[in-house]
Amino acid sequence: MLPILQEIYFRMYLIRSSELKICELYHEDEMKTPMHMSMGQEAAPAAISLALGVKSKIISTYRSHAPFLAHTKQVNKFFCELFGKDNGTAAGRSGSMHLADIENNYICSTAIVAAGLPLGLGVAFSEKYNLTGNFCIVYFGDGAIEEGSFWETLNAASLMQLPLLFVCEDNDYAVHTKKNERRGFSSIKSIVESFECDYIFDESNDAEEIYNKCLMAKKSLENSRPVFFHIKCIRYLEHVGIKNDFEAYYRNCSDKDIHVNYDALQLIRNKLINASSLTETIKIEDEIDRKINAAVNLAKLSSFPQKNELLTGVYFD
Amino acid sequence: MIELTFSDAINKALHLEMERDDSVFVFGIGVPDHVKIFGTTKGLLEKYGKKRCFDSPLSEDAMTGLAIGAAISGLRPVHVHIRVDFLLLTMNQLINMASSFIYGTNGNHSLPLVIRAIIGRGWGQGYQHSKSLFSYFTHIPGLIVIAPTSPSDALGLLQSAIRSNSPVIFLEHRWLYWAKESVDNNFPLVEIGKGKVLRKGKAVTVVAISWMVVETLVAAKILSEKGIDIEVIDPRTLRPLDTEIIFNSVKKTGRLIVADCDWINSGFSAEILSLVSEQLFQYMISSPVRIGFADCPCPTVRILEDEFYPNAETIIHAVEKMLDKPLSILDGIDFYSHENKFKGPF
Repeated sequence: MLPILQEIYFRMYLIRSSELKICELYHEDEMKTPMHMSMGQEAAPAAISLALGVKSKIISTYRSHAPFLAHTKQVNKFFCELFGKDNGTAAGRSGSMHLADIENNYICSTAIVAAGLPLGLGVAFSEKYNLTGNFCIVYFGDGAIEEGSFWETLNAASLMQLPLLFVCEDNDYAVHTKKNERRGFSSIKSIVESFECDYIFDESNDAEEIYNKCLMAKKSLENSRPVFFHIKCIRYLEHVGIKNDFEAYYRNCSDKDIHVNYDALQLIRNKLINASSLTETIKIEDEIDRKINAAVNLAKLSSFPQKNELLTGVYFD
Repeated sequence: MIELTFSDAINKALHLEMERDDSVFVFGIGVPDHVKIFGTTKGLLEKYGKKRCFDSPLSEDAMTGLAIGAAISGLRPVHVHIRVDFLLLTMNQLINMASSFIYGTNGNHSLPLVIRAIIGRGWGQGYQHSKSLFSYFTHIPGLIVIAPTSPSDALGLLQSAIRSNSPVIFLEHRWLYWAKESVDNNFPLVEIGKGKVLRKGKAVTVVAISWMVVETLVAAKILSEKGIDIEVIDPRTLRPLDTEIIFNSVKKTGRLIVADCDWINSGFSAEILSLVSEQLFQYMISSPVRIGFADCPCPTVRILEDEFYPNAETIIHAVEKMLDKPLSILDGIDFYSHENKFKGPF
């Protein structure tokens, strides 16, 4: 398991350390893009992208950093985009909320809740149409379940039996609104299980366990059956921005405790140290930190897009 | 040459493109059923199978997402809606997702997507089955909007739309399906973004959209018998608009009427008037005029429905008024009536 543990930790640390760097530099006001931070939610994207492989196509939400970095590892393009530079993923046009890197199979991030779900249908449909054997993975929060798009997508994916992995990152909140103020149902599981779709649940916050559950999901996806992966998670920071808001009125009292005592990154770090050594672990961390520092330097030194590029690329030439 | 109806022309374009390119597929509510969307999808299921021609759940929003996701992945979906009114259920996907997708990749990734939607009127369609919504779509950068009138344009423009690498909204007026025209055996493509002068004249430029082209040509013939020759332009593509063909005509006539097949208020006709007013003000002899639907929801009962829609008579009188001529009494002239063609209930 060591290579898998190492790879999971690499991706999780890449996400955490990149976001800590953002927190460190955000006040400089050079990254002028609203950030919905992934901190605390590194386990699932790291495990899912590793288990389902680089050929899987990702569609995500405005909380894009973890799925993006876990799948693409493109830290240079990532920081250049956040700084709005011409060598970013979209030359500054997309910023944090609309990150996309199609050549690395990260299709898009959307700033409209549940809007990415229907796109997942089309990407999964194409994989089936072209008999590629690949899958589509679509991330959304539990709030998206209240949108019509979710029901339409779950129905169509189940009807058409598409290789689509629904990843529901369930933290009980939609921005600041708790689930008991939003849901006219008691169980996400029972909703999903009434469709022709597998249901898998995780509340371990343990990336290794999530990885193993993904291998189960993979079997269904390979048979072109959709899978709903329901993952309980904690968002460490505020809905948008870099401050923590554990003391805010809407929070569950356990959130802070989980952050302090059961941090997903720390959990995998301890496992990795036990399986290899502290020195090996620090080596991985140093390598990533070097890459992040280099990416930030590159982003700071890179050029903004030219003003005369404003009107280019509205249509595909 | 071969004679095709507008419906045959749409059907032919779909067959030609599906034959030519395996990545083209056609889907939507009712697409493979026995009615075949006014005959426009006939033979597709039989020839290309369920994989490339299929029905859909009543989920316009998600199925538009399916089309967008498929187009991102390199397929060429044609998503069909039997009424344009249903596109209002897809606006999030069209306007938040599709229209900005190419721009959001810095212009590096294509989105070859066609949305066919049927616009139209008559036989008591009422206020939820009769809209045009041109300006809803033309307002949005990143979308191409096409509204053909003749069978040859429908044939050529739909082929071009399917080959386009940007998203296209393709709007077909229901009354046009029975229109006939002889078209070239080679089934030539028509370039997106090019208008057409359908009739030359010096008195007034009339830019007509979709069904109003038919009404304008009727008006032109009657006016011509009275010694008034109007120039009739069909833009065919509403976005990108062929401003050159309109400007050249207005420079010559100094007068402009836009006969839109839609509401006037904040409508597409206002866009053409604005462009002409901004850029050709010095050429204008008289104030430009808009013709369009009455400013109310479309009623069902015939006597009010007939009042709601402009027609050839409206255009004739607008031209005469613009030229300070007395308004003709048009009683006894046999204008087009869909009564002879269209008996409902569909």
